Amino acid sequence: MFIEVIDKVNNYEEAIKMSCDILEKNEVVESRYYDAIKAKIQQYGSYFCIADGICMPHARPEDGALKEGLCVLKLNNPVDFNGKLINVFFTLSAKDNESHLGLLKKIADVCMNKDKLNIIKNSKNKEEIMEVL
Amino acid sequence: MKKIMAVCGSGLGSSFMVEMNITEVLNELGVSDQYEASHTSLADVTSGDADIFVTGLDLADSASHLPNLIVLNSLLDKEELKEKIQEKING
Repeated sequence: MFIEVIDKVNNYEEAIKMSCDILEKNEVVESRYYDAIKAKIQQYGSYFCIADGICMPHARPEDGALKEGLCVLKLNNPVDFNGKLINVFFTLSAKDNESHLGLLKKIADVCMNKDKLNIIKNSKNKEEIMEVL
Repeated sequence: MKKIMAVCGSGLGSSFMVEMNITEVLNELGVSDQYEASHTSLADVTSGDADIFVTGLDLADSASHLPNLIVLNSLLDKEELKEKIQEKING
């Protein structure tokens, strides 16, 4: 799992690109994975916004996912994503339809727990976020 | 066994999370012997795949061809899911 805390981005594309670049640098995804995510957003909108302030960008295993992985990008200033204000990006890579269940459970667990969610949203510290997850 | 299927854009992220919640809700409602949960993508889903479908508000239009569709305003809100599944099951 990769965690990054940054102050702000100019737009949501930048946040997703940054996350994908981190995953690519660590050989989790190929560069085309970002294009696939962009295409999904064009087709279906911001459907992977899973909770208030939280989104989970991802594409499919055949879109250039090399292995299972997660990049958590926390923005100190939220960014607009099709009318929703987002400050945490859980960019996910899955190598098949099932094996990332453990990662999803972690994300779901955080998103359904207001206390944990608030810690992550307000944290400016990677270690603290890691601990909550 | 009847089927409740969660549907999302890629069939492995949000729909998988919703499937986990459906399974929990079915247990809480005491109907897990009658219903089972699964997940898929909008590209793969056909109306015969399940008895009840579940998706999020953002995909409501793209999924409007599915019968017995539950649209969640808040994707991971288990109470909302429980209420709406109960309605469909009793309805």
